[in-house]
Amino acid sequence: MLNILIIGGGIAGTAAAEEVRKRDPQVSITIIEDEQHPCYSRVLLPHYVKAKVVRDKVFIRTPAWYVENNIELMSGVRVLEIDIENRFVRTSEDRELPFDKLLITTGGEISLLHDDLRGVSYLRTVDDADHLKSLISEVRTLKPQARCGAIYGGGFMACEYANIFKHFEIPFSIIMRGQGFWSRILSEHSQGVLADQVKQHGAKIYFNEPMPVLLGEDELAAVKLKNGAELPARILGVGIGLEIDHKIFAEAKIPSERGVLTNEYLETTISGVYAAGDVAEFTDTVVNRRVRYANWMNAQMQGRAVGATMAGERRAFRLVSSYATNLLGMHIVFLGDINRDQTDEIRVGLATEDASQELFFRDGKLVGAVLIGDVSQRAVLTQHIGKSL
Amino acid sequence: MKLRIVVDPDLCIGAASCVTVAPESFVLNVENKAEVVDKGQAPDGPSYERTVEMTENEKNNLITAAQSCPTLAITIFAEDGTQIYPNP
Repeated sequence: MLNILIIGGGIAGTAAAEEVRKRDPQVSITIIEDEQHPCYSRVLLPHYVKAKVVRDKVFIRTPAWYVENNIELMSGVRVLEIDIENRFVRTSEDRELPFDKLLITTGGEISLLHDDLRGVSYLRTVDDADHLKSLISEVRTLKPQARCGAIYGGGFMACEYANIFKHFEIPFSIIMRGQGFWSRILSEHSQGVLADQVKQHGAKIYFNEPMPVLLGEDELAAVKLKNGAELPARILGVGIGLEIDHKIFAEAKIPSERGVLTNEYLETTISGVYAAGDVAEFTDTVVNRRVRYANWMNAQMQGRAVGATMAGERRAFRLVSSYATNLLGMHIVFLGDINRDQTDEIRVGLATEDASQELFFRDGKLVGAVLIGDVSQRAVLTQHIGKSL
Repeated sequence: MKLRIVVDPDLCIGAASCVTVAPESFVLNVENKAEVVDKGQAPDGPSYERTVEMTENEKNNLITAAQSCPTLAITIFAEDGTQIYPNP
């Protein structure tokens, strides 16, 4: 019987397993997941923190689902070694699991601060969300004037933390490594629109800051900035990106650069080895470049495509990538390829006090767009980007 | 068959998975929320809720679209009011 191993039980790996099973009731499918949970929606975590959904709802696959679909989920297990030549992986339980086909959907690991102290929060896993909920509960027992939060970062997670602090009426400041939100992607105008949005909500932003120093005995009381100023903070929400652990791929001689390299079929150069989701640096035929995206829709759709391919229905992956979030009520959408360094020309579609639209062109083709404040052109621009070269 | 499709705008974050999987049933509005359409049309104006006639194949795709929503913002009901997705 054919043996399919999937490393990573997030949405990419789970969607792939589901697509394989739809096409082949016989094949053996095992998912190895280092977290202790069945598949859950990371996108729902902020909703869960804000009590918009109960904890059970976060889990989008129940243990019974794996049984019904005859998919073995090995949770709480890490893969320590991939042996391509002998076709097996070695796990943290020191087991050797053979495979005929291997899918890598390990995602990324969040970047951590150098130090830790109770009160420091990350928001990558459901356990992180549980932790943040308990921190917020504690802060809300304090007198209103003693409640205070801080955020370190200037990307999607910073927006989520800002929305969460606002929801719980915890005053906060944002400390950024760069000169603004997404400082390597956005124009000065776009960054200004977002910074104004934060200021209008009474929060202060500190730019070009190194990693803040954590102050407090047993738990966080304040963070220290580079000029020595101390900002009171009971919670520090950290969102400074994802890292890919390349060591295991390098040792296995699976080609990787910013992610595991694949073609548009999500196949690596090694026969029977595939990658999908946040970890895959794939050939994106929409923008005609090799890219790596870290968002839910990309991961899910890649999982579905690679699952079909692994089951013998070879299918190229093609999608206009999109990220959507909001910052304190202001909509933000990123479409396609928005790497400034890989762009020939960036045109301003809209630049008002409370809205911005940037259009990214390469070789005369629209390959990406940023929409802030006014997202009414999202569908039209998605269509334009999706048109074949 | 007729199905009632409901989007909860409070949960929807505009991830656009539903629009990608089932563009015949969902569009994003200016608020970046998914609205329900009937074969791409909204004859009686935009709405977060609509009863739509569809085939078995269209229903399967609709359920795939609802399952793809990362915030579980889409609920589907059968004609008799039974909730089909998510499992109640």
